[in-house]
Amino acid sequence: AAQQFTMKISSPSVSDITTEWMRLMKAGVEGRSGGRVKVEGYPANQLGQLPRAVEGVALGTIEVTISAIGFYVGLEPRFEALEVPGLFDDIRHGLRVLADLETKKVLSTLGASKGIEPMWLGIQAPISVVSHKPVRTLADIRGQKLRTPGPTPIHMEPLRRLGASPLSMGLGEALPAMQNRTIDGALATINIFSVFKYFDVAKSVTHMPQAFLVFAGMANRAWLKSLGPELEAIVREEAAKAESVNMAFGLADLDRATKTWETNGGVFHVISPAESVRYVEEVRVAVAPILAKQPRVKEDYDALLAIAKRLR
Amino acid sequence: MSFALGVVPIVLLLLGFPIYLVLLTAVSVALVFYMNIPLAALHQNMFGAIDVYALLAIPYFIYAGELMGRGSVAQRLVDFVQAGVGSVRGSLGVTTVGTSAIFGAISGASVATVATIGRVMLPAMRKAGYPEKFTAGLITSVGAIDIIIPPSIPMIIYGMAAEQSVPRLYAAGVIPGLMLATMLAVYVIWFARRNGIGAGEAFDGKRFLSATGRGVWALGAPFIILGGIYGGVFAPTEAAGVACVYAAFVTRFVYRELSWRDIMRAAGTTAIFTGQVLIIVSCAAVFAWLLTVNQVPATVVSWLQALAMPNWALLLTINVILLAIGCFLDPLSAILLLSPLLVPVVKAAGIDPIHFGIIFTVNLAIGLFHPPFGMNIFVAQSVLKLELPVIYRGILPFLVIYLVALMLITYIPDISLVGVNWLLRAN
Amino acid sequence: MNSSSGRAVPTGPVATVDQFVERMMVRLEDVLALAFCAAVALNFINVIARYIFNASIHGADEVQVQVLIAMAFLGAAIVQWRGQHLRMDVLVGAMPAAMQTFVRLAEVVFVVVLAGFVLAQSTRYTMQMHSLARTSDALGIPVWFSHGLVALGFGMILIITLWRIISVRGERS
Ligand code: NA
Ligand code: NA
Repeated sequence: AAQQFTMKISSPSVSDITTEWMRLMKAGVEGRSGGRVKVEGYPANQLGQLPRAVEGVALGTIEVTISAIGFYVGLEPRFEALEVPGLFDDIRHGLRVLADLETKKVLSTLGASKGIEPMWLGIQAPISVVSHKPVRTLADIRGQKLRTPGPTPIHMEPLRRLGASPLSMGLGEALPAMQNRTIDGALATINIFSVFKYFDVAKSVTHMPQAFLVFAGMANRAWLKSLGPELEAIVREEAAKAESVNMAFGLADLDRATKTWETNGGVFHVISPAESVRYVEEVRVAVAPILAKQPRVKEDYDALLAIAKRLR
Repeated sequence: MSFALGVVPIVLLLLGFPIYLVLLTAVSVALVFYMNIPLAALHQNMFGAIDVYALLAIPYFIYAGELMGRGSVAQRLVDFVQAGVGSVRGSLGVTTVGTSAIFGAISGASVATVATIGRVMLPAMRKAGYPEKFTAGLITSVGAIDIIIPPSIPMIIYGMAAEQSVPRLYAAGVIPGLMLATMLAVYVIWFARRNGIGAGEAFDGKRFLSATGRGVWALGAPFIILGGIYGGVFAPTEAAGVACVYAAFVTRFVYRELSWRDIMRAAGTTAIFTGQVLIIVSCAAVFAWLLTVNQVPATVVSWLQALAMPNWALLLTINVILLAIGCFLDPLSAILLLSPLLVPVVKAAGIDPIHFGIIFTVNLAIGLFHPPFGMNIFVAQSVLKLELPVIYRGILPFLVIYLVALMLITYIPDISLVGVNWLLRAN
Repeated sequence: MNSSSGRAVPTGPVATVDQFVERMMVRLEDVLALAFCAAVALNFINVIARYIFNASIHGADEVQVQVLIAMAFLGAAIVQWRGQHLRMDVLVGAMPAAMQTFVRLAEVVFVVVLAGFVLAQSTRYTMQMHSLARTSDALGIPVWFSHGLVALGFGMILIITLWRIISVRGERS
């Protein structure tokens, strides 16, 4: 059959879980639709930097974009519920929560008024801090100038409470800023630290307790509808199938990134269980007034927390 | 589609339409008549290209240059270099190269170097009897060293797009940048000898000391900027803004040359210049985006791979493609468009992506002054009021030097990689 | 070469409007200059605050980028008024005069059509951002404001060019 629709998928990174997902979608959707839906993958921000790609999905110039959940918050504040630390115990637990049918019900309405819909959710890695001065205890964070993975209060306030000076900057600028010690460290994931060779600049990485980088593949709702019932069902089913990359590829990718860090002389420090509990408590206190101001986010967060408890 | 994105822009360009209008026409025709993409893509990409923090370095470096040019800061910097190299025949030309290299270590945007250095050196070289063609060619091309010597905006963008470490790229750029400066200086001296211009004067220790003394505040600029960057006081983009404050402070309070009104006027000029340059970057971004979604770069790359060439031929072909692209696109669009596609090809061929980053940067540096147009040519026209035909003819010998350097850098990876290995050992 | 509009010095009501627009453009240039100086100052204060007081100004970079966007698109309108957009006109300079006039006429038509097109698209995008209530990441300012600068800039380019057409016709008749 002749091509009737194009599905452009945009991702900020190259050769990682997102490109693997694109590959699966291309094989699945093109195969089952008999070529009526053509799938084109655009890694490395080829279709534009993240804020624009997100708008692109909202307005339909791009059909699907993949990004850390934080980039959707400016469009749909409710996504912030997924950014609060303390929801998941570990990645496997988090993936179980995200794959749960009840979670999908909660999330399916997110972004509806903005014309977008989460089609695929995953967890890249724990959020870690890479720093010149090793972070072994919460006290080590005090006084450090740290790049945060997002500019919103959810990212800033917990660090501020621990006595750090959080500031937001792009990933491209964080590395040179760390090298010349404009900042003392940066929060992101080990995948990012390994890919960008942060080990050239600093060796210490510490995973923050119960904090994870959740990302989403977001689709344009109107485009999904425009496919017609048959093709829409194919795309949705293939997206659900492609979710298998979370376990099959994502965890292996995380292992690879961890090994890359270690073989290049990098080290991991671990925060003790007692300190971890205290960290989650501090985060709760810091985040409570922020959630109080956003009842919808609080509602989503509470619902997700209940599911997380059930699946522990 | 090739009509919209190929024929239309070339015809309009030759008819002398404003460049932003040429690009805008091409992308609008493509979007309206050939493509099934929501028209929102037009605004989205025009806006998205400018909504970039790192681009602030452009007006900041321009403004700092504007202030230094209006006051005597740049002049004093030039006097200092001149007092040092004055005994050489062709010393003014060598000074232009030397000052540009120093400036390159402060600035990450080539246009600022052309504007600032050009404003001081152009009248001086004219007075000393250098042919207009030679001066125009030197000043227009020499600023391109700036993006090869760190800091460099294109290297930051390449690092982002190709997922390579920016500090490694910076370290890799030092030797190629200095090598280019040396080659240019040698040519300048040869040219001056052959044409009997710019006779040297005996080195005068007293004059050197006095030039150093008069230039202390001017010489402070590189120290403040470099010291600030490497000492961890500010990031590269911020450094450009700090340079403005320093230049304003020195010209207003130390040398007392500029009034507040002058400082404001310089800011107005900067805003206008920013409008001239960024409107092109903005429209070029839509053009690049349309090439991408029509899978043009991807097709070129798969064609490249299918040829299964040996590495030397692959690199040569890529160089030719990049030079061609550099004739029409600004460096930022070119990097964003091509590096995600070319880097995997290059990696698969066993070529170091950092080495490739330098090859890429040097190509784009050449594109900055390679006819028919480039940012440096624009600046030479609009700020220095040089005639286009004069620039075109003057550029040729310098183009040859840059191309020779490009070949050396392409085929001798160590020119780039020695610096990286040194950095890693130092760590 | 930077083209000039190459028109005879206008007189009468045309001159009055021209002078008015010129004054507005000078004002706009002053406003952009002030905003730019504020961005420079903000950048500097942010550096000092972070280095000495270990505290950075929240959203400082966002504000600076806003100024950059204003300079790009509103600056482009001033450049249009002054006929200083960058172009490569070696070839057209060598053409016969009648041909040059025709090319210049074609250019004006292109500007009107395309500036109108960008104005329409940007206005629509801006309104969509408004109805989506999208806010900036750090400061939470509505983003339609900065998107609207594109529409404003191209709106000005359109009006300027239309006025050029009207005023030239007015002089001829
Ligand atoms: Na530089
Ligand atoms: Na060029």
